[in-house]
Amino acid sequence: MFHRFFHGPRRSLPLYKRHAIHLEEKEFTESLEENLKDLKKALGDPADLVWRRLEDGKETAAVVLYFETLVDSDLLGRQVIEPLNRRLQETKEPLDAGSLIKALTFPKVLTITHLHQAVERLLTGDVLLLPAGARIILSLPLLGVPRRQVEEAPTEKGIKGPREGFTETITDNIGLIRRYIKDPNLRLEKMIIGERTKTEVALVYLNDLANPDVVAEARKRLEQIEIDGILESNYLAELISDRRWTIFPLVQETERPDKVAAAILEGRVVIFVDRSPFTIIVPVTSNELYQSQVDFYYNPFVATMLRLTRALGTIIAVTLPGLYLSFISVNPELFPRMFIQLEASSRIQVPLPAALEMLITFFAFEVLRESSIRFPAGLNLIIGVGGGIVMGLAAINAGLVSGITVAVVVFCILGTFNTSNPAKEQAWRWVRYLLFAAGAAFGFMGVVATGILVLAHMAGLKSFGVSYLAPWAPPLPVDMADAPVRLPWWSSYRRPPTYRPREEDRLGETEGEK
Amino acid sequence: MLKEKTGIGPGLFFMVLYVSIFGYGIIHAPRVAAEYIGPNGYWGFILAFILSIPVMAGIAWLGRRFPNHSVIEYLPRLFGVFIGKVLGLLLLLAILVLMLRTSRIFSGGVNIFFLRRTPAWASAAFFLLVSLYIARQGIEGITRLAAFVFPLTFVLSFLAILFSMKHVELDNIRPVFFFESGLAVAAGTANLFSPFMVLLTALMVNPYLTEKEKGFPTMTGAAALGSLLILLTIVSGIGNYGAEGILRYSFPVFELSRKAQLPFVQQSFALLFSATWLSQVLVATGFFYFLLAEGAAQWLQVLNFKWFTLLLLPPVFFLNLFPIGVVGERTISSYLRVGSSLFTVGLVLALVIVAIFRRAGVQKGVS
Repeated sequence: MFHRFFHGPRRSLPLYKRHAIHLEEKEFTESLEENLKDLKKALGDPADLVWRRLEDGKETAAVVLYFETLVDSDLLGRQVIEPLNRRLQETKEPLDAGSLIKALTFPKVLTITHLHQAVERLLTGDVLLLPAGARIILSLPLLGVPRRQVEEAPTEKGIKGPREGFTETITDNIGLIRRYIKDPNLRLEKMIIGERTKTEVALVYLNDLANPDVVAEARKRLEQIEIDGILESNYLAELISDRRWTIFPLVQETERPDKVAAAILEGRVVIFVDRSPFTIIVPVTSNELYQSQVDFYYNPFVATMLRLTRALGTIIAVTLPGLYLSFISVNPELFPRMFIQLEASSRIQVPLPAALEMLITFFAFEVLRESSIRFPAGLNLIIGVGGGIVMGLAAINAGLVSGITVAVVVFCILGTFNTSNPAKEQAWRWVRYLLFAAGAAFGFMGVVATGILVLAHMAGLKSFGVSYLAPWAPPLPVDMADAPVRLPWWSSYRRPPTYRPREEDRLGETEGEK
Repeated sequence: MLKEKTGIGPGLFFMVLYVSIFGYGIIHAPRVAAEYIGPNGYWGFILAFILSIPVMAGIAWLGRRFPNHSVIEYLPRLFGVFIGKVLGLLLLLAILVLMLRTSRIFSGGVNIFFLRRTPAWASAAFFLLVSLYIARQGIEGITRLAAFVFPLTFVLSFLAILFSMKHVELDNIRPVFFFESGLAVAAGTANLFSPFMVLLTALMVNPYLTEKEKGFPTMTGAAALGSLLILLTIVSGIGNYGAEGILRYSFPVFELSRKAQLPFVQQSFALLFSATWLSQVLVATGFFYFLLAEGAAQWLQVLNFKWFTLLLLPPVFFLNLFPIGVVGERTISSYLRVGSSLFTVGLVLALVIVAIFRRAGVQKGVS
């Protein structure tokens, strides 16, 4: 328990569990019935498993085996059952593996020799074809589960730029990237992670750009993972992060293919996870999470203004509650003179201490925010906005909270969404409450000291060896120029050195780098 | 684990030194200059800076001579085990005293200006815990933190000092070249040299430096920039209040920053200046705490700095509060300042001389 608390979940499964998951590596025999018996034993004969025997008049020539809940039945009928039946009726010769493949005209056929491989393929949605008298089995990918169409990413919408977002299907997602980057150096390494879920994970990078150390490290960290299931990309994100005890995201997750393509072109490494529309990009810096892909689709001046708004908005949204509270409750002498009368008159009827008043207001808005996610789509806006306005006004009129407090809270809750990354927004939510508590206890100096504490924590973080505070710390002037300001494309001829790509020059080799 | 790099470059070294010199040096500098030398007390600080140059040269030379060792490690090689260990302990005690003194000043200032109703132990404990957390980030984390706070704190401090000069009366800083006694200037210089004790940390940071040949320019640059701001503060402080007037204030720099007004918003710079100063002091305290813990681990040759940050917390906290009412801080602060100045110069001088005579360390042309 002690180990588990401090070091997180065990990475390797206990041996007794491994036996339950791993199947015996048994070779198929020439006896069809024996092979079928083995498969039945391994799978436990579930209700959705279909066995279809293909007869050549006298005896079973082959058996088709599939999960009806996983395969595309129409395609199976048209491309497998129908041609095979035709073949069996036309010629009376026995069916062997070679003639089966010829009869099928199927684009991709895998030949399987072992039981565990067959079970694995069957569970991923393949159709197995067991010819009589052969020591092999043919596997045909005919996955037919419903797929979501490519739609705009709901968490990263933009006014300009492509409207595509990733879906839950890894092949579709990789295809979207291949449409952006038509470079033979684009490498794709696939692996299966999750003892029970067998989740497909793909490592994608540009071979001549990505730092080989980062690629090797990403590969190593993925290979080391031993877990029963990966249901979403965050499972991997947590397991491959450099530090576990942190509220800040140490990998970048995105739903936008254009952002992923841009990251690959910067020499970063991308990890796709099947069944998740979120893709992981490593390494990442705090600065990166303030840059939206949309910045690059605007004029540099407009994009710069957007970046500054985003950064300043977040800083104010995170620090304002703590500062406001410290000014009105601990250090009133520091409150800007022009606001004193306004503040005093608005709080005159409020019976609660400032800290409690603010905490209750924050809590009410957090509840509203959380419940609005679960409202039916049509009611979301009406109940969310209407409820917020009605509740806020009622609380002010009743004298429970002051108008300024509500304004501060609403601004802060909206302001944290300035971050172009949802995980970072959640981290700032935490920091906001930390600064709030420090402001309540130690006033202005408490907010400053806690701010430094948070920065110290960030300064100690690394993402795949890259400082989380780069390019500010350590200072990298080339990247620094492109942080608050969006440099025009004609001057951005170098890739960000923060990520240490093999080639810094965007168009060609940088001298002395190879 | 993939390492970004093994050590700190000149940029990070520059920033942590600047932040430490400025944070630890600025708060009482105008008062001390006026107290010992008078209206032209800024000369004392200029002389102190000039004196720091050979000290920095000595430290840089020692860094090249013992590239992979901290001073705690090579002291026994130069002076023998016993004396080396004693000197190492003295250095650690000096760093501890420096840290405690500034923490006390800092806690006192905060309690006077910002947290009047908060018990001293509570604010001291809070700031000490923040420093401890900073120290536990290790040298890379601390220097990165210094680099991150540097741009904003530098600009705000500079603007605060600049705007405070609006009310400087030239008569207050005259006569420029007349000194009542050479002894007063010497005493002032010795007192004003104390912020440069921070340079001794370079002897301990040395193994982490990636480009040791840039040690001297980096140190000189950081010291010059920090000194420039401190010098401007001295000039502004004496110029605003006069040499006698400034002695009325316990924290003249805070008072000075109150005089500086933010244009258009009718608000003084005091808030911003105190925030920047607090940030820098916390980073510097975290840095010294780290060096203390790392030095203790090297001196005792057990555990590591992370353990010692925790082990040192109770004594540091106790000593941080203990002198209140037991020892008059004003009484001993002058001795501490002069003592730290003499220790800084004396230790570097002794190390250089002994290293030359014993031909210790890496020598040019000798394999």
